[in-house]
Amino acid sequence: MSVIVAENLSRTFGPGRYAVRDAGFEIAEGAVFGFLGPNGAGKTTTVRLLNGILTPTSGKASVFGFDSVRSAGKIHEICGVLTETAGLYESLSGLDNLMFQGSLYGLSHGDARSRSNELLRRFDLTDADDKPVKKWSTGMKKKLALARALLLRPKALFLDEPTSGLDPESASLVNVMVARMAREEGVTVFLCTHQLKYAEEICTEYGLISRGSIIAAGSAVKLAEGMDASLRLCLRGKNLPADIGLEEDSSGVSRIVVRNDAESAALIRRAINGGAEIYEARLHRASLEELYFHYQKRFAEKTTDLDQMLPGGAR
Amino acid sequence: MNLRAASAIAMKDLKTAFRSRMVIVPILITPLVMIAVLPLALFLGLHSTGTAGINGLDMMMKNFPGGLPFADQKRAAVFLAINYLFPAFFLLIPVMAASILGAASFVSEKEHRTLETLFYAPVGLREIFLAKAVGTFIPAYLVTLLSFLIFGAVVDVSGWLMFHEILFPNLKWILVIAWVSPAVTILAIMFMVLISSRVQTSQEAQQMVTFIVIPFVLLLVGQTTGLFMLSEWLLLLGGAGIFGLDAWLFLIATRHFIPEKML
Repeated sequence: MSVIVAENLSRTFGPGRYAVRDAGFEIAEGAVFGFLGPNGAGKTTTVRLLNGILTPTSGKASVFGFDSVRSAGKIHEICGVLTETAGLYESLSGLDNLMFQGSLYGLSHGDARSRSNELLRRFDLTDADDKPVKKWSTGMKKKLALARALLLRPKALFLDEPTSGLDPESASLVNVMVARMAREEGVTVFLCTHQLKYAEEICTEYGLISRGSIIAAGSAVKLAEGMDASLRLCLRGKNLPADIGLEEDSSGVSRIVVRNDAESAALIRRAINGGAEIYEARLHRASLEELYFHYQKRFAEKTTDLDQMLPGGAR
Repeated sequence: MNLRAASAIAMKDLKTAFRSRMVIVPILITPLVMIAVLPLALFLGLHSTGTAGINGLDMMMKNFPGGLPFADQKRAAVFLAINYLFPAFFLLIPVMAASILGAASFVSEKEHRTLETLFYAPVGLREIFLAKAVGTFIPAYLVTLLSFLIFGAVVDVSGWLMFHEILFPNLKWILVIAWVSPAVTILAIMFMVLISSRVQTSQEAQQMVTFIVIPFVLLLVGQTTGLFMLSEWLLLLGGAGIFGLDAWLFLIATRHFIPEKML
C-alpha cells in the first residue's frame, strides 16, 4: 500500500521559478525511500509540501491518506520530521527540548519524561542532557534532533540529511536504527541525502531529483534497468580472448557490458574453451553512485539541449 | 484550542526569554530607572534646590496652559511630574517590555530556525500565534504592573515626607495602567509579529523598535512644551484608538503568521 503519494506536485517561488516541478512518486508502507539530489534541487521544499508546511502551486500530495493541505494537522500527528531548517532550542537542555516536543503532541509529563530519557539513553546523550544544547557538538545536536523526530513513535519519518555532520560511528548507528525501524516497526522513511554510501545501505527505493524535477524513481534494480551498461562482467586472467570486446584497465581487470547472468556465463565458458586461464570472474552491478551520476548527467544534457533549442534559455 | 500545547509554548517562551541576558537586563534596568531613580531624583532635587534645578519641569511650569493649581512651587512641580511627565514615561515601559519579549518570542524563533519545528507539530497556526502573543502579553504586563506598584510606593513615601499627603494613585494613573498600558502592550506585540515576517535577526528587529517608540517620545515632548497635555479624556480616547489599531494589526498579523512568510 502506498502511504506517501505525490501527484504532479509543483511549487513555484515567483512566476516561472520552480522549486519543485510536476513531482510524482508513490512510497509503500515500510519502505525506506532515498530522495537523492544535489543541494538546492528541491528536497527540503518537497518535505515541506508533503507535510503541508507549504501549499503546492499545483498538484497534490497525501500522507497515509491525509491530504497535505486540508489535513496537515493529522499528518503532523503521525509523522516525525528532522530537517536542517528545523532547529533545536539552543538555550534549553536536551531533556527540555524533548519534553517540550512531547507537550506539543499532548503527552503527559510522566510519559514525555520516560520516553525522552529512553531516547537520550539510546543515542548516548545522557551525559549532557542537562546542559543547554548550544554547548553541544554538531553530532550530538543531530542525534537530539533525530531523537525528537522519533519521540512520538511516528508512522512515517522525514529525514533531511540525518547523517551529515556525524562521525562515522554515529552515522552508522543512525543508519542501523533507521533500517531497523523500517524493518521491525514498519515505519515508512523518506530520506533526503547526498551521502550515497549510507543511502545505498538502507534504502529500498529511490527518487532522484534535479532542479525540482524527479528524473528517475524506483528500486535499485529498476534504476539499473534504465541505464545502459549497468551490468559488467569483470575478468582477471591470462590468454583472455581478444575478439569479444573486453577492455582491460591499468589494474589488469578486463570488463565487458553484459545484459544478464546467462550472457555472462556464456562469455566465461567461451573464454575457458578458448584456452584462457581465469583467476577471477565477477558481475559488477552499477553502484548507487554510478546510477546517480548517470541519471544526473543525462538530465543535465537533456536540459542543456532544451536550453539551446529555445532561444533566450526560456523553458 | 489545544490549551495544553498553547501553554507549553508560552511557558517555553518565558523560560528561554528569562535565560537570555539580552532580554532580562533591559527589561529590569529600564523600568527601574523610570520608576525609582527618576522620581527619587525629582524629590531629592526639589528638596535640596527647589524647582530651578530641573530644566524640563521649569519649562512645563512656564508653558502649562491656564496656570498651575498650586501656589507652592515644589507642590506644583510634583503635580506636573506625576500627572503629565511620568505617565508619558510610564507608557514606554509596556512598549519596551512587550517589544523585547515579543522579539524573543517571534523573531528569535525565526532566527534560530525553531519556528519550523513548531509548524511541524500538530498545533494550528492560530494556536501558535495566540500562545506566543498571550505568552508575551502576560509577562510584559506584569512588568508594567510591578513598575506601577514600585512607582506608587516611591511617590507616596516621598510625597508623604515632603507634603504630608497621599499623591498616588489617581484616576489618570488608573487609566494609564488599566486602559492605555494593555493597549500599547498589544500594539507592541502585533508590531513585533509584523516585523518578524520581514527581518531575519533579533538585532534587525531591535532597530525597528525605534519606530514604535517615536510616538511616545513625541508624547513626552508634547508634555514638556505644553503643546498638548495628557488629560483623562485624552487617555480614554487615545486608549480606545490604540485598541482599535490593535484589532486591525491583529488581523494583518494573523495573515502574516504563516509558514510562507515566516520561514
